[in-house]
Amino acid sequence: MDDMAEIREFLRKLLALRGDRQPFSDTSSFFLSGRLGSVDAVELVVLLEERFGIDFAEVGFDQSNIDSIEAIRSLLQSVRAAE
Amino acid sequence: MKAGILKYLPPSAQHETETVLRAHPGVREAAVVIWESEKPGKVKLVGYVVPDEDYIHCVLGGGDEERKRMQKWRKTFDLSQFGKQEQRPEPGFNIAGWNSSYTRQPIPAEHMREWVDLTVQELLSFRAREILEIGCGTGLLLLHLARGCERYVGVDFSAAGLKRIKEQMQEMGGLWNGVSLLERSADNFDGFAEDSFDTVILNSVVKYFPSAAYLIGVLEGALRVVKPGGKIFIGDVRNLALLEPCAVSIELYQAQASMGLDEFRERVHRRVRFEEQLVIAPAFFLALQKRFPKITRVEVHPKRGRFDNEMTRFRYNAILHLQSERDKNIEPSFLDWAEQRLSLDSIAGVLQNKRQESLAIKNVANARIERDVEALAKLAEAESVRTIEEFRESLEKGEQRGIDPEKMWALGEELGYHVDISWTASRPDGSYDVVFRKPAHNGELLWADIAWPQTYIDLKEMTQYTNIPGRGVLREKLIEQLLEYSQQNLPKNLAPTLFFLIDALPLTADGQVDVREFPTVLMQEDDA
Repeated sequence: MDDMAEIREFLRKLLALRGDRQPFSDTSSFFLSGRLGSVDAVELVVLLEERFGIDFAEVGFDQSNIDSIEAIRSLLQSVRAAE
Repeated sequence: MKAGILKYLPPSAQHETETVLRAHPGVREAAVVIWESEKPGKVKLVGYVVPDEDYIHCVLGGGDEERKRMQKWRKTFDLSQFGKQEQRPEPGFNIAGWNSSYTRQPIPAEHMREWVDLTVQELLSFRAREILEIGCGTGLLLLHLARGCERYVGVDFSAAGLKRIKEQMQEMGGLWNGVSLLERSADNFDGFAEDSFDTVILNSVVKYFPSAAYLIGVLEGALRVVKPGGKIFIGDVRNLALLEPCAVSIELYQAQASMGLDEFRERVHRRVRFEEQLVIAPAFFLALQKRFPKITRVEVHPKRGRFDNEMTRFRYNAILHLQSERDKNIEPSFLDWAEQRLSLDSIAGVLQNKRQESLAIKNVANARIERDVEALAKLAEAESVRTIEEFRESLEKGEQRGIDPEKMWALGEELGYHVDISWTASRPDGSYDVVFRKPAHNGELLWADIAWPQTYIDLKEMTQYTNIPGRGVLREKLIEQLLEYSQQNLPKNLAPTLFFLIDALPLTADGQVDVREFPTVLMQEDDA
């Protein structure tokens, strides 16, 4: 499974555990829209830290950086470019 | 989305599906029906399941869940300190991470300033020399209280927060003797001697505890380390009696004008169902008093404040007085707000003209949340075709009779009366009880243990006075399991694609399952 597919599946599960089984696009907002809360943001952060090596203490944390599939993709790209 | 039309499966198919579902350890009872959209074409096979509660708690919940839950909260705090800040926060006022549930944006600074100032003020009145603050966060209270103390111990599980406190202490300069900062979880009282603190502060932290049992454990620890005559301050607690009006209030603020009421109701239910924080009925603290005789007096009051926000609307402070010397038991005779048709003016009139020693009123409607309580009541009515826009309009027409508690306090200050306001009754409309008392002639106010009106709820177990944080997620885990299980163990056309967990299968007079009582399924009308 490629990285973005893995992240999409992870988010599908997070939403399902909130009883939300509506589909989402690459630009759908997860957090700023209130669809997911801060505890869910943490689950995603832990995935990005452990699976993809992002250090939010260094990069800085803002919910808008991880608010959609597209935003996460950009974040991953910029972190990898910096390496 | 519109309500679908319910249809039955052929009996043999129904029997086969329900038998397979019942074989799953998380299922006690199951019933399956078909929902079809009004414009035919869209069909959904829906399973209604009465879950096995033990399975949910033991298998899906597990002992590790509490620890994981705490770790997630700790991380949210750490992350809140990693944000890129344009301006350096003012030392002593680091409010990073304090976001409004309504706007999801930071709470305005002036609201937070009032929140901090009033809390500090209340705590200063305790005149404590040795304080233990559990959950000191970024030092919003510590940095204003510690220097007035001989000893101030600040405990928090967020290393990032403690680091911020140290930075601010340096920026503010001066000496901070007697202050120690410890990185540890709230239930860790290692190294604290019995009866060694005047006050233990738990401000805006208990909502992050994973369960009522954990809360009781922490309070037991606090009881041990506080001196006789000391106090435990549990501040900024979310009121369980108001969980539903709070959910309606927030969803109503966020809802688009065109949203249908069925969908709105579902959002409100979901917000309540998936509540992650620990929300506590004020009566919990009365039950706590019954269990722990060291607590000799309990005060629970709505938060003071002139700003209108979720803190002043739905939260309270609780103060536990330990082995306090009680000078007076007071059993006032309470006037009933509604029955007597009282108003702020009539109360002021009585206090001024009659110059009474005291005046007690119960069931005062709370202007801060009157609209929210009314919205919840109206939402329960049967009409389902209206939109949010129409719903909002219908609420505006309602008459506002209540009094903002802050006005009661202000009135007392104006006329020279001490005011006690209590929420211990824990009524679901958020109404409160109030006692005005003239201080004794030398200006000293006698400590009083007021016999407040009876509580609205009287539960067997102390733990029933709180919700179960994260319960919604455990139930969804079961649903996820059932969806997968159905795919694996049933033919494709018999595998439900949607599940509802219900408390019991509704039965008709003949003992058959009464499917008309099942929760309605909303069907997408247009092509997905």
